[in-house]
Amino acid sequence: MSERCWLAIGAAVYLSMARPAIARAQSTANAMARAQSTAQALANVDSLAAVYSAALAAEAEAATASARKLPGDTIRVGALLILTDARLRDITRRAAANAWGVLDKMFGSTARVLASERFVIRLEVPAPKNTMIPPPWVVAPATLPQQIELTHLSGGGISNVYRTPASNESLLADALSRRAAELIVPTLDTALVAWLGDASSAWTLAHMDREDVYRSLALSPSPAALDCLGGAITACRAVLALDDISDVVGTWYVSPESRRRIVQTMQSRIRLGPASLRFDACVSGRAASVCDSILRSLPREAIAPPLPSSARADFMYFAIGRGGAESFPRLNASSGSMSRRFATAAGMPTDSVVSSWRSQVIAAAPPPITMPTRTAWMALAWAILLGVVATRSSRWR
Amino acid sequence: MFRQIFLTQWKWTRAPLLIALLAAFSIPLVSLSRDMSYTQPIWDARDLLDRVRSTGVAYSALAAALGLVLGLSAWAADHRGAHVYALSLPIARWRYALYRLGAGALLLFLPVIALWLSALIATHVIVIPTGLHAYPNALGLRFLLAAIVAYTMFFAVASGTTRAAAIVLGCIGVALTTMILLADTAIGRSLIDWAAQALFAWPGIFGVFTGRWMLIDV
Amino acid sequence: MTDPAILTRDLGYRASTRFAIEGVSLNVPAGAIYGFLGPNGAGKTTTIRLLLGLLRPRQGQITVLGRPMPEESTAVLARTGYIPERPHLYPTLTVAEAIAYHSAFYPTWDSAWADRLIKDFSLEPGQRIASMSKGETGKVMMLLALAQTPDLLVLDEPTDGLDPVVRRDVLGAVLDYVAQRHATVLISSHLVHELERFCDWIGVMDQGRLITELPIETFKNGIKRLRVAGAPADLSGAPFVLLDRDARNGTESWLVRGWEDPMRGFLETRGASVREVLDLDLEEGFVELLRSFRRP
Repeated sequence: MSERCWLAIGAAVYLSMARPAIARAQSTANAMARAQSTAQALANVDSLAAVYSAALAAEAEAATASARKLPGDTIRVGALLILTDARLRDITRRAAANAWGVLDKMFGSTARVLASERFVIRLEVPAPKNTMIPPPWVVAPATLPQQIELTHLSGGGISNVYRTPASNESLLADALSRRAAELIVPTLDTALVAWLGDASSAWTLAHMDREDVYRSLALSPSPAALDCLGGAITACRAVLALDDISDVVGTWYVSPESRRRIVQTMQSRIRLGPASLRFDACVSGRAASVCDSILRSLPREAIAPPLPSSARADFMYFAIGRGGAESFPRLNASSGSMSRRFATAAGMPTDSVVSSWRSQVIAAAPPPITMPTRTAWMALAWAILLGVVATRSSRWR
Repeated sequence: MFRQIFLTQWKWTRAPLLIALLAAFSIPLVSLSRDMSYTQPIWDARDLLDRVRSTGVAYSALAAALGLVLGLSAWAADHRGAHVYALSLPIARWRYALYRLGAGALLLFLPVIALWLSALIATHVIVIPTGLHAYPNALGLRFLLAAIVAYTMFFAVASGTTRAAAIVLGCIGVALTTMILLADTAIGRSLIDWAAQALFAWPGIFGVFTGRWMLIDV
Repeated sequence: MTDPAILTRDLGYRASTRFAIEGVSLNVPAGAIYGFLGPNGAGKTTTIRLLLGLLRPRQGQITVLGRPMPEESTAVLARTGYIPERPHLYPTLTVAEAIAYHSAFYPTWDSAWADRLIKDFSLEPGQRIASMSKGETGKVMMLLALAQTPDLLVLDEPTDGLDPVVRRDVLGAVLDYVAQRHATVLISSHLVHELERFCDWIGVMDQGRLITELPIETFKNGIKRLRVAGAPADLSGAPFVLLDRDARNGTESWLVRGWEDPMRGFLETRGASVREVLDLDLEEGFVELLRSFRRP
């Protein structure tokens, strides 16, 4: 390594020192700047290293002093730094470990952006009004604005709050994951965000419900969605909008009845002013040509896709899961059609990813929902109990 | 002995039982009647599910009504005679009540079987869209359990003395009145939530009545 | 000596705040036809229900057919035919259905005799109980009680409201049965003259208490109306029981129990003379007994 290089390193180290060490480091740097020769500069590197060590120690001391002012403990798991109440320390540590496991697996190195954030989990007793979260405790994982001192946590100033029961570790982990994912979204590629649609803002990580995806696919008004369920991979690609589609109406809503239905679902956007007559003719009059003309008069973005955004998000997570470590950064950094980008992320052909995803969705089909087994047993138990009560009725009238 | 008790109960309840039987047979067929004209898989799964869901409440209502009628009818004749005849027969009270309970439970199976058969027929006649499935057996089982719970509950209340029935009804009345009076207060809301939870959520007595009664679902 | 068919000791039951059965000690001999007399509301029906285990006594012991009641009510009821005061059969059943239902509970059911009684009583098997007259319903109840071939028949006002023809049919069937099977009959009624013809024992209830219980002949012979001249005020040491005395025109009219002709001597030693001794029928005796019981 060249002397210049060593100098540069030394300068960088110097600049990264913590504030309590700045004064001493500054004088050292000035001395270094005054040095006339490289040899002198090299000699100063040792001195710089010592100063750097001192700076680190001072920073640690400052952090410890700051932590003493915290309302509770500070927990660091991966890139997550969480300030919490002492009473919630154990549950927070476990929840953070779970959340970080999900985030790291999902976003890989992209999740490191979270290192610049501080999360707060605060105990709120009693439960605030107008919340459906049952007592006893309510906690709020939130990011702490940098300008707010940690000692001011008892009041407001914290935004984007999720409230969960403090006793539920998985819900707390879910809340942390969701909040963290919201912070990652702004770093995403715009094309990816556009493809995700609503899912990019309503990020549902821990509770991505593949059963709901099955339901969406099964109940979609689009014949293509049913074809996908039936095994047509091309149809799956179409409903997921993985490829550029020139004619979305003709691809997604091929039958007249499906067009009538989708017009009906877009009632709030279409049935305005003079267009209401055409809307009625399509929906009530079942005029296929009117439905067709309504849909074709709309911009492509206005036509409701066959599947909700959550289904696309589910597909994205599935593809990332297939791609292993760092597949998300690969997806984020790639370009081209979504089909190609997912193939890059997953490390396999798009059709293979789609086919596997479809199989997983079908496997997640809800079981017969008519009645849970335990409800059946409990009903039987009630019937027996009531029967016993009846047979024990008194003969004395 | 049981046969004779069964026959009397059949005689007392055959008219409402016949109505319940017809209703039970009709509901699944009616809920899917529009779809029977389709010869191709119907595309509009949501419409189908909406129709199936809208008739779901009819199953639970029918089960409750069936339980009510059979439960009260089992004791109506004895109540009219102040239980003198039943008590003067050489049979232990618990055995008599058990036979009456059993006879009513057997009769309960008639509308249940009608509903199950009707559900089987309806789901075989229509072409179910891809992604949806028919659950005639599960629906039939659920209807049976709901009807049995309702039946045993009303049977138990009716088997008691007038005083016991008055105490039970009085307690329910006091609870309802309290809830209505306190409905606007935090305590009242908690009380209502608690009562609803205790009755309608597992392991509550009416747990089997709640939830989705879907003949066809995803 | 055979055990009594019904035996109670100090039986007590409170039906309401205004009415109670108190200290009833019945003794119905096996094989007897026991007339259970009393005015309406005397407590006869309540006592019968206590005997059969339909009500729970507050105090006392009950033994029916040698078994304690209500502990062994199932075994006792299997040998007991009961006709309650009010029709108790299921009104929606036909006669045939009612017979089929009832017979299922009694292993001792005599079908042949039931068929004969249907004919004797001119009953229509297909007729619904609800559409029957009171007399026809009474006949059906009697048929059911008899065809189960009981050892004890408990009949609570079985002929109340029936026309004389039906009454004769029904009571005739009971007497036939008793003659054949030597069963014990407890028959309650407020129609006293009806019981006079065939009862051999009598018990009289009033206001929840048993006033008297004795063989009917003793009852009938024991109560007399006497016309007494020069009646003394003090009757201490009298060998009979003076139930009532009424003075008119120098002679007194006495109602006495336990009178026997040799007792005239007792009155004569007191300066009185018996002018006339009148026999009372059961109804008169019953009325006078009640009157004396109710007098403060």
